[in-house]
Amino acid sequence: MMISLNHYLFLAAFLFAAGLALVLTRRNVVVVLMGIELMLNAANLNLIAFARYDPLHLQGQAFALFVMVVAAAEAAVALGILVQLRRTYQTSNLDEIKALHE
Amino acid sequence: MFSPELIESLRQKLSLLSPSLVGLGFELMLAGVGLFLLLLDVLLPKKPVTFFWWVATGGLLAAGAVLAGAHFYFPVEETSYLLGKMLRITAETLYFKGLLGISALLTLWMLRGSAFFHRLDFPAGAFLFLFLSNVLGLSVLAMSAHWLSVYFSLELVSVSAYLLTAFHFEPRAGEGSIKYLLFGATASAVMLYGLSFLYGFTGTLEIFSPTFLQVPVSKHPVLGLVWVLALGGLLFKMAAFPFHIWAPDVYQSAPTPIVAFFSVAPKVVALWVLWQIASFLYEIEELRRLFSLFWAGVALLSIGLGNFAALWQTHLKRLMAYSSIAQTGFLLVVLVVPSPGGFSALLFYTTVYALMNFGLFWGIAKMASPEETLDCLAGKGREQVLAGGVLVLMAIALVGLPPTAGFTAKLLIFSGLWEAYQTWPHPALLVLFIFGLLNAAVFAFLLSQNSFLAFFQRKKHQRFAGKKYLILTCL
Amino acid sequence: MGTSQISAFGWAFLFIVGGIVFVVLGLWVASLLRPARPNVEKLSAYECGEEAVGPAWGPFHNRYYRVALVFILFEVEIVLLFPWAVVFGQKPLLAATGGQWGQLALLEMFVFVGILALGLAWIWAKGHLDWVKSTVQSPDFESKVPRHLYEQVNERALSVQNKTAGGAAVSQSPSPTSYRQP
Repeated sequence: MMISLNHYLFLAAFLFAAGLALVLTRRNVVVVLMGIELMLNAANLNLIAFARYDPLHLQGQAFALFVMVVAAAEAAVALGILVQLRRTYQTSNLDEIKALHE
Repeated sequence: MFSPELIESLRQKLSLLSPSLVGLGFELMLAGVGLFLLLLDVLLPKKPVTFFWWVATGGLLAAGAVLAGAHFYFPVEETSYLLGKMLRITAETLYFKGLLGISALLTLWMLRGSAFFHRLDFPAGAFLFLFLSNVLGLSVLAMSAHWLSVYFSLELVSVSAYLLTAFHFEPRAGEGSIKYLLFGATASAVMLYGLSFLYGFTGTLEIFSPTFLQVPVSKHPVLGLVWVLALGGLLFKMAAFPFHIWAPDVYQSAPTPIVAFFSVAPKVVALWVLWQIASFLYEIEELRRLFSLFWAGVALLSIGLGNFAALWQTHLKRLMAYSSIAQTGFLLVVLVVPSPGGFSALLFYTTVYALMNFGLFWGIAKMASPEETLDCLAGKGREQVLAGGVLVLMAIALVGLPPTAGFTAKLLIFSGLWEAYQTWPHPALLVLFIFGLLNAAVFAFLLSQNSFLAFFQRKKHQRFAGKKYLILTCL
Repeated sequence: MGTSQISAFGWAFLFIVGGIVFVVLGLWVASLLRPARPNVEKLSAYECGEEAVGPAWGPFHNRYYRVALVFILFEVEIVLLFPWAVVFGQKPLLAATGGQWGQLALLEMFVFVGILALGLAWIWAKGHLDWVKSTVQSPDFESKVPRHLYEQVNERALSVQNKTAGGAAVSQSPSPTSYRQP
C-alpha cells in the first residue's frame, strides 16, 4: 500500500479539525494561537500534497513557504499585543478580558 | 535539466517586468514612503508629530499623482497583467485604487485633528508606517488575480490593522486588538484551507484561470463549500455575517479616524474583489444558482443582524459597527446578480458610502466626548451646528432617504435586485428584497433617533422612552 | 524504493522503529557501562552551571518575551532565504537569460533583507532591545533646609559615634545614622 493523496488529505483534515476545536473551546490566548497554527499547517499540508499534481510545478510549495512566514509574523504581533494586555488585565484568559461591552 | 518552455516563460516574465513596475507605481511609492517614515523615526526621533504627518501626506499625494498617471498609461478597455499573472489592472481597478487613496487622505486629515495623535509620546512614525502598509495591502488586494497575492495582501492589511487598533493608549485598546487578531487569523486559516482545495481541484492558483470553470460542479458537490471557505477571508474584512463578530469590539476600541477608514476602505476593496470573482464564476449556470443564493443569504443575515443588534447599543461606535455590518449586507446585494447595470450601482454605492461614512465619523469625532456613549451626543448639535448638521445629513443619506445620494444608491441596488427576480423568480430573492426594504426602514428610525438626540434632546431619561417606541415600531 | 517489497508505509514505520531503537539502545548500553552513584547535586536539573532557583513554570519577566518576538521574526526569514539560495542560482537559467535572472534575484533579496535590517534598526533605536535594568532612582525632592544644616547634624552624629566607638574605624565605614543630602 502506498501513501496516497487521500492520506495527506485525511491527516490535514484531522489537523484542521483539531485546530478549530482548540480555537473554539480553549480560552487561553496562547492555546488559541496554537490552534490557529495547527489550522494553518493543515492548509500547508494540503497545498504541498496537491503541488505534486500541479502542471505548472510547485505553486503550492511556494505558497506554503509564504504561509509559514506570514504565520510567524502574525504570531509575533499576537504575542506582542498579549504582553501589553497582561499589564492591564493580569491574565491571558479570553473570558476575563472583557472590559469592552460595558 | 530545465525544459525549454520553462526558460522561455522566464524570459517572457523578465521582459514584462518593467511595464509591471510602471503599473505598480502607486504601491511602490506607498512602500517607499512607509519605509522612509521608519527611517526618519530612527534618525530623527525628536521631530514633532506634524513633521511625520506631512511626510506621510506628501508621500500619499505623490503616490496619487503616480496613480493618476497610470490612468493614461493603461488603456481603458484592456486588461493588463502584472508580474506574471499575479496582478491585473483594469480601468475599474484604477478607479477603486483612487477611491482608496481618497479615503486614506481623508483619514490622515481626520488624524490631524484628533487629540490622541498630538500626545507627546505618540509614536507617529510607526503609526503612519502601519497605516500606509494598510493602504498598500488594500491597493494590492484590489489588483489581485492570484490567490497568493490575495492571501498576502489580506494578511498585510490584517496585521497592520491589528496593530493600528491597539494604538489608542487606553487599557482596553489591546482587548479589541487581540480579539480582532484571533478572529482574523482563524478566518485566514479557514480561507487557506478552502483555497488549498481549490488548488487541488484545478492545479492552479490563478483566480481567473479558465480551468476553474471546467471542473464540473455536479460531480463535485463539495466545490461550492470550498469556494465559500476560500472567500471567508474577504468576508471577514467586510464584516459580513458569519465573520462579523470582531467589528463591535474593534470599532469601540480603535481610534475614530482609523475606524472611519476600516469601515470604508477594506469593505469597498473586498467587495470589488468579490465582484470580480462573482462575475467570473457566473459564467457557469450551476455556480450562478448556487452563489446567487449564497450571497442572498449572507446579505439577508448581515442586514438583519446588523440592524437588530444595533437597536440595543448604547455605545456610539458599537452602534456604528452594527450599522456597518448592515451596510455590508446592502453592498452584498449587488453580488446576487452581477450585471453591467449592477456594476454601475456598485460604483455609485461604494463611492457615496465612502463619503457618507467619513462625514458621519467626522461628526462623531467632533462632537462625542471621550466615553463615546450615545447619551453624550444629547444636545451637542446646538453647540456645534456644523458638525451636528453634517452628522444628521450623513445619517439621512446612510439610511437612504430621498433628497440624498444615499437614496439613489439604494434605489439602484434594489431595482437591480427586482429585475433579477423578474428573470429568475426564486423566492429567496423576493425575501431579500422585502426584508431589505423593511430593514432600511428600521435603520431609518435608528439613525434618526441618533440625530434627534443630537439636536433636540436635553435630558437623558427621555432617550429610553424613545427607544421603547423604536423597538415597538420594528416589531 | 521501486524494486523492494516494502510499501511506503513500511518505510515510514521502519524510520519510527529505527528512531526508537536508536535512543533506547543508546541509553541502555550507557546504563550498563556507567557507574551509578546518584546524589542531590547530580539529580538536579542542569542549568548551564547555574544553580536552579525555582521551578521552570514560574512567570518570566517581560523582557524575555521581547527578545523572543524579535528572534522569531529573524529566524523565520531563513525560510525564504534558504530556497532563494538553492533555487535561484542555477547556471542554465542564468545563462539563458543573460544574467538578468540572477541580478533580479539578488536585487529582490537585498530589498527584503534591507527592510528587515531597517526593522531591526528601528527596534534598536527605540530601545526595545535594551535589557531592562533596575535603575537607582535618586529622589527629586528639593529640601528647604540648607545644606550646611544637614552636615552639622551628620557631624554631630559622627562625633557621638567617635566617642562611643573610639576613633579611627569610623572614617572607613559610613555611619548608619548619617543623613543623606538631597
